Amino acid sequence: MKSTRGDLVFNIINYSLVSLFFLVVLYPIYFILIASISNPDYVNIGAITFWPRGITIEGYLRTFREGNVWRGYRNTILYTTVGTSINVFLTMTAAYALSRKELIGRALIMRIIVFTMLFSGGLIPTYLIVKGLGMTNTIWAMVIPNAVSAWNLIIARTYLQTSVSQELLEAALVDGCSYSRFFWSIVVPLSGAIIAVLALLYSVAHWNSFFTGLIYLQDYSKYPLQLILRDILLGFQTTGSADDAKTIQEMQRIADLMKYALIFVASFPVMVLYPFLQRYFVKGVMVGAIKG
Amino acid sequence: MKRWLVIIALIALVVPAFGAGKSEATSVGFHKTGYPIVDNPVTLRIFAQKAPLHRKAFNELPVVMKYEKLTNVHIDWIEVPASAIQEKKNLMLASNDLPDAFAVNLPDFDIVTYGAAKVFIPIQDLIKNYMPNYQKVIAQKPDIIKFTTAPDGNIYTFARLNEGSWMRQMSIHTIYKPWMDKLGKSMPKTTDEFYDLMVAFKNNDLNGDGKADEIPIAMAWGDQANGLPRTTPWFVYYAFGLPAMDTGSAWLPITDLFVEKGKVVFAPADERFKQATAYLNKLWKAGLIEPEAFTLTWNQLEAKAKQLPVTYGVYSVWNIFDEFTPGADPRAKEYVPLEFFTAPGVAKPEVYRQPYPGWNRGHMAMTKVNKYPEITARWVDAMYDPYGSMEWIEGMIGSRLVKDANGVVTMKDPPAGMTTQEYRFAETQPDMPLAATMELYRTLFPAPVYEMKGTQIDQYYAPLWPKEFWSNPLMSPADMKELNAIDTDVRNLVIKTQAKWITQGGIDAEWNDYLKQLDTLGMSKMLKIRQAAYDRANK
Amino acid sequence: MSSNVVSPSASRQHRRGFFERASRAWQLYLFLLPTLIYFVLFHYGPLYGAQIAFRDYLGALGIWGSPWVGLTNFQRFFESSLFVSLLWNTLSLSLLMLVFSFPMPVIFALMLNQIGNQGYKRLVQTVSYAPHFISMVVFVGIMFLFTSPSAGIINIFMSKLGLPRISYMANLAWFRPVYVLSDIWQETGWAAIIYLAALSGINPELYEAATIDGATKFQKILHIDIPAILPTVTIMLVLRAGTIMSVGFEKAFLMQTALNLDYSEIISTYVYKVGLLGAQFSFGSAVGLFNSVVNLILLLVVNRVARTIGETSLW
Repeated sequence: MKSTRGDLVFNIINYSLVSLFFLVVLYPIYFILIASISNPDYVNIGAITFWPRGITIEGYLRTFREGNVWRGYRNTILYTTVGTSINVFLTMTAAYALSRKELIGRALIMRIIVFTMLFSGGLIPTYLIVKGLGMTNTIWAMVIPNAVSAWNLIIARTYLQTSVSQELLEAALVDGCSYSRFFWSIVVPLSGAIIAVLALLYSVAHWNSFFTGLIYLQDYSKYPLQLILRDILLGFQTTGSADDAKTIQEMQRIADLMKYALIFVASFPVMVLYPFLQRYFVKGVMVGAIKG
Repeated sequence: MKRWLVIIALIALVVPAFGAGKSEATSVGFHKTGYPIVDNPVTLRIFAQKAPLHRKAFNELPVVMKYEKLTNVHIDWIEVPASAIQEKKNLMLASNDLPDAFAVNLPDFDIVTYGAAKVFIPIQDLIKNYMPNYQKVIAQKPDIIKFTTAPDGNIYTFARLNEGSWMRQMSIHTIYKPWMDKLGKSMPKTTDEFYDLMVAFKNNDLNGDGKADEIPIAMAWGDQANGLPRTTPWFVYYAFGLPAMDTGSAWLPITDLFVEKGKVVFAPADERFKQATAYLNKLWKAGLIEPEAFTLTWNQLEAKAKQLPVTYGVYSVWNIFDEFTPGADPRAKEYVPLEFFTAPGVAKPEVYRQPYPGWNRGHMAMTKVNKYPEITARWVDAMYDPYGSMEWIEGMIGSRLVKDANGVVTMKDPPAGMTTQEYRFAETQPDMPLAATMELYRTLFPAPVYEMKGTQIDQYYAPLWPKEFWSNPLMSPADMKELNAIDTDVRNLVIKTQAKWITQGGIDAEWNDYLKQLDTLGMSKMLKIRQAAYDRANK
Repeated sequence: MSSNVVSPSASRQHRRGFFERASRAWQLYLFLLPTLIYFVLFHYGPLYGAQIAFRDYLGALGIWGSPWVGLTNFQRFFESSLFVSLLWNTLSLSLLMLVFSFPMPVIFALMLNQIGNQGYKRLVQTVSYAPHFISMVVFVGIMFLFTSPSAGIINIFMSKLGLPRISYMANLAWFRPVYVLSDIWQETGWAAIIYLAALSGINPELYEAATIDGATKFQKILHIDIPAILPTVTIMLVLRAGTIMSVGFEKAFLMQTALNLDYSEIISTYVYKVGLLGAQFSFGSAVGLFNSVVNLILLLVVNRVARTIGETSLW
């Protein structure tokens, strides 16, 4: 009786706060939506608050008309799927190894990996190595130099450490299961949640990346989506030749027209990826799996 | 036996001597004059900037294709988006993957450093021997030599000239005549008269909508990320006799220096700057300036200015005829150029004079791996031919450009669904060395809408330009490194302090400390280096 | 989860079992190998480039050919009159975000986890991380629009409440609050993903047992949820400590106006401006190295604290 009333109060407060946060987060997203179909002049003078004005779909039309945008989409999807598969595979296997106390030298290896998060040799030497391996201007330059993120690796390791218990492992080993089989038969099915998270984190990183493509790709036809979009949005800010300001102005106007539409076009797929991943990977997590 | 050896040795020494000094050019049938330039097609690798409006690869652009056919020189373009130029350039240099030439506007620092490191080759001899068109341009504008010569005496880059008469002034300051007429006032002649006029603008509901929404002076101080021209009331500084103001956006990074009686002066440290900023503060306090000046971007201000009823009394723009279409919008004629007024004690207003408006100095440099420098030089020379310049900068004659019987060239309107600039970028790569001189624009290549601004400049600005100006000559790498460090700090300080003084005042009390601070940051050193460069360039 | 009561002989067996297992763990090395090769090749291989900080790097000369200048680049940074201001501006943003921005996703995840309606929960979660996808350029642009004194929605709201209109972006004192609040808005939902994933891994039997014991929802959070995500939170905290100097350049740069430069000029924006006028690779590299060293020190300290207090740490 008492707990039900306490729970009721809790639920009311919880739902209210969560919903409040939800609305606060929702408004700017809503704003971008209506701005993307409004006349940019109205947006610029701040006349858009709750409703679109001067409705125009030209932003979207231009975005879709850009042949480059479609090719960019194709390229990005390719880089993302290939890249993420490599990423998740390498990260999960390494995280598994690092999560087991039996791995001798574990602390040292962790230090080696964490060190790379803090110190880097810089762009040029990395570029030279990639070039030396013959990867420039190919898909490999887009997926290998960033194959494992130390950050994500640590997160995955933490998850495996806390949710795959030592007893489970010992029991399996006693039963004659090898470390390898333990990984594939038990750890992976239990790790739906973290695999989904990794897939999301890496996919988004690939999807949003532009610098890698900028540096390693030469052919415009191989450019990922973000590079093309950034070019449209920011390309007029050059320190280039003296051209009359009109060129810059016009490019900025086009950028203004497109920028909100571009966000939706560029982000929508990834945004809806996660709920989809969640449903696919995280199925009835640990029911009956633990034997104490 | 020994004799044979000697003969063979002599032959071995002499024969290469015949080959030495001969570039590879002759092996491909190079012609010193006339087209094609070479008999056998030659490929040059050129690093160029790709604009976002470029939808096609460069080799599919009509103008590029035309010149390839004409010259028999094929270009293997390395097309780089603007945001990546610095990085890509450095990576190419680091991995020893040099192109034959960099056809982007190279910053001064690169020109002198890579020139000194012999990565770029000197081109003054090539100009003399192989480039008659460029020489004609130089004969017309001899300052080009001064402009592009590095302190070591060599020229490493070509100049690009886009000298529309409208390029000579960043902003045209206009005032809304109908409001003046309603008040029965004429152009203010002094700072006091201007102040009173602005107050009158604010208080009399001149746009007739019953609301006190008039803002006498439009101002958008500029957002950092954009190099867009600001809408700033530079005329206030002119009124105090200071032909410079502004610590620079990316557009004109040298507008805070001017020359007076042979001495280089840093405007933000000058007494007149103090007086002018104090006056701006007076205007600000009275609510006469756009209150959101420091957060508005240029295009937001523009959107506001386009609204009806009219909001702004004084509006400074790149080109008023771009904002309001003449014929369609009466405001194109109603915003008239503001006649400059003076502060008490000042004889005449001094208007900022751009050094070489429309000129870029670093426009193309050839690298040491270029096997065909003469061929490259001749290929570039085609762009300095008047019609070559026109085609490269705006589009192909016979397509976007139309040439009439008298040789006068006009531009066609874009087809439906394309803007002017998109049409232009579908035809050509304008970011190349060329010379669209003012004379050209005024004779064979008219641009009537832009010329309207040119006329305004002729009438109101040109007569007030000082004779001397800071010409921004090239300096040695060591000098530039030192300046770089000082400039960033000094400019940061000036930007901050000026904005504070305009909005909050306090300039009288803080002026001396500010000068001291500038000195600690290295201002006097900076002036010394620049003075030396100026003297050297102008001796 | 693990039993704490162990008899002496059992512990001996446990230890013996450990070594036995360790010897069979060679497979684990196989699992680790490709990743390790990756790190060595792409992260340790290029490390020689860090010496640019000690040289006067010129592209034409290459890394090895550029003259050695020792600590000159560092000196220039430390002796700059802006050094203290840059350092403090950077650190204060970092620390403020640590105090205010870091806990928000944790709290949000705990709360969202208790929402019973799965459909609503998923909707809120998806919308909550959407802001993360808005590019910084557009995001800051929107911030300027929303904070406009004349037309921005925030000021309209404030004036309806009788509060004064403020030009937040042109106001020095408001720079840091706006920076942090906007960070909370943009990143809470995204950062919560990891915590929600950890929470989803909690054994439902624990909840059932707690309900039988008469625990309220609040108590469940306190005794089940929080201990379950504590390791993740700790690790995230340690990692955050290791990025304390790395306040991103883009957001601060875009938010800069002439009136907030005193707080908005941080290390990364300054290095960018210096680099604009001339490719100052060496200077940027030296500053970066300095940042990395500070990051490392902090990481070690926080990691040591985490290890002493709790069970989780990086190593």
